[in-house]
Amino acid sequence: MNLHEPASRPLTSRRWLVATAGCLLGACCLEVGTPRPASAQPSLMGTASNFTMSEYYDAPHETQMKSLISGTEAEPRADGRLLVKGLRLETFRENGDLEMQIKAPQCIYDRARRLATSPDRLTVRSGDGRFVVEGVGFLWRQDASTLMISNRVHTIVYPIASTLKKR
Amino acid sequence: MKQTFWVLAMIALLATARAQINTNTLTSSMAPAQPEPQTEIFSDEGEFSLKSHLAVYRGHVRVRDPQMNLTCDLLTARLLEHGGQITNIVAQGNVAVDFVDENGQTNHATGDKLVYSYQIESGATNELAVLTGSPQLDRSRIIVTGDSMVWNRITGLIRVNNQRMILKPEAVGATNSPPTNGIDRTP
Repeated sequence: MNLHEPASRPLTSRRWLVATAGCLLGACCLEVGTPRPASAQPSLMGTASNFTMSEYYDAPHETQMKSLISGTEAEPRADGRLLVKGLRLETFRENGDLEMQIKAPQCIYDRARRLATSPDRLTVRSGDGRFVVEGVGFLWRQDASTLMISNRVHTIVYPIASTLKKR
Repeated sequence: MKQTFWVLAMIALLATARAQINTNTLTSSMAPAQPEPQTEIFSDEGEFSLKSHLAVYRGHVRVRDPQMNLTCDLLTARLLEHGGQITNIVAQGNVAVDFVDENGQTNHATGDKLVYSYQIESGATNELAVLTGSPQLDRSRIIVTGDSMVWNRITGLIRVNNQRMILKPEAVGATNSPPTNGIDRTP
């Protein structure tokens, strides 16, 4: 999946085939759980070297991507969790605007509990670019949409004029 | 209840900061970029909720802002749903605020809790910071205490409820005239 494509993308029949094939491939490699409707179920696509997992809003915004987790590599672990390297986690609003982006060297992603954890440094940036947070060690709770940073948190809030200039 | 209105005109600092932004914007193509005022928050831990639009900072919280520096144990900030503005801040535990007024005088305020709110009503912007929990304001020559201190960041006025003023001994020895320090002592 192209990471720069718009968040709003309906599941056309062609995409559905790609997604289904990706799920089957992922199931072989990464032990995908019980299938659920595509609009609510995170779809696992790609190989271990190009990991992406997207989640869509429920109706009536079922064509709108809610979150996208991607990594340069994903490695299944014995406990069923995934080691995702080159992590990039993005959340989107219902109108498709980027809400937040998290970058980290790697994380452990628990698909069953919908958690991502890492002891490494991370960078968080709000969609409008006004809030930038750095820290060390984090826990992302996908269901609650909460991010906990456990060490050395540093937030920068840029003024509105500064943000406009950067755009 | 005795109330005293102080004119500290902190809005001048805000105007200065915003003027600097405008100046940088206008001259950015001709002059080297200057550091722009920004707010930084440091803490041991942080929790951010996208649903409730809350940011919670815990442990050795430090806020470095063009207008003031603040330290506390716990800080909770609420943001507008679509970003762009912090609408509410609650600082709790060992709150200390340092700022410089328009006379260049250093002020050090302490208390247990500071609540900052920002809202726009009928086109008017309201920015209030309320310090409670044994609030104390330490200026160069006086110490002011009270039940609460309400700082209107738009008008620059600080209202102290049930205020008590202590003249520092060194200030008494230095001059016989009562300290003014820009304070409006009119009842």
